[in-house]
Amino acid sequence: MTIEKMQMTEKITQKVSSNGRIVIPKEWRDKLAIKDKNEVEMELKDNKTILIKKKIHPLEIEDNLFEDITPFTQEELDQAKKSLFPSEE
Amino acid sequence: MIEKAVIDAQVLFYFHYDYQKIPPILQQLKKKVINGEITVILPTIAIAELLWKMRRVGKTRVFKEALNRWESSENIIIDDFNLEIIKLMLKNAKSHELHDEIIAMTCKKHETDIIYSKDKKFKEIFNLQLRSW
Repeated sequence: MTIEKMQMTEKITQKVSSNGRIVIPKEWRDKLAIKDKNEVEMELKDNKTILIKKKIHPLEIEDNLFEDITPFTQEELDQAKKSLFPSEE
Repeated sequence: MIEKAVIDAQVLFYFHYDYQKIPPILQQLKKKVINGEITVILPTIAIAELLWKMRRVGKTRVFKEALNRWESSENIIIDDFNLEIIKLMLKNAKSHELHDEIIAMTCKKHETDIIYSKDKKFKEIFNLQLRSW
C-alpha cells in the first residue's frame, strides 16, 4: 500500500475484501489519533464518494467555552444552593 | 462494564475551562469521557446551579452551547430530578440538605457510588466514594 501525497490531499488505492472491509493506513490513523475501538463516521456523497471522519466527542472541541469566566467560588456555590432552596439554613 | 459517576456543578464548569488550568483528576476524567471509558451523570440540579452562575456573568449563550454538547454526548446522561429520587430519599432515616441529598440519591438511582465533587459531605453523610481535588 503506497500513499500518494498531493499537496493537502493524500490518496491510496486498496482492494476491498469480500465482506467490504478496507484498512485505514497506520500513518493516517496516527495523524488523526484513531485508536483501537474509536468510532469513525462514514458519509456517502452523491452516490460517488465515501468520506470517513474520526468521530469527535463534543467535549473534545477545544474552544474553552468558559475560559474567560472565573471558576466557582465556595461563596457562589453556597448562593446557588440557597437560590434553589431558599428556606434551608 | 463501563464505570459510571455523578458530577457536580463545579466539575461541569471545568469541562469547558482551559484544560491546562483544571485539576489533574478532572483532566483525567475529561479524557476518560472523551475516550468513552466512563459515563457521567449530570443531575439537573447541578446544571441549574451552573445556569445560575452563567446568568450572573451574562454568559447564557455559551451555557446554551455547552448544554447542546452535553445533550449530544452519548456517554453524558442528563438526569431529571423525579419521583424515583424522592422514593430513594424516603429511605433515608434523617433529613438532609435537599441539594446534597438529591445529588447523592442520583448516584443511588444510577447504581454508582462514585461522585466527583469537592464537597466532603457526600462521603461523610452519604458514604459515597468521593473523587476530589
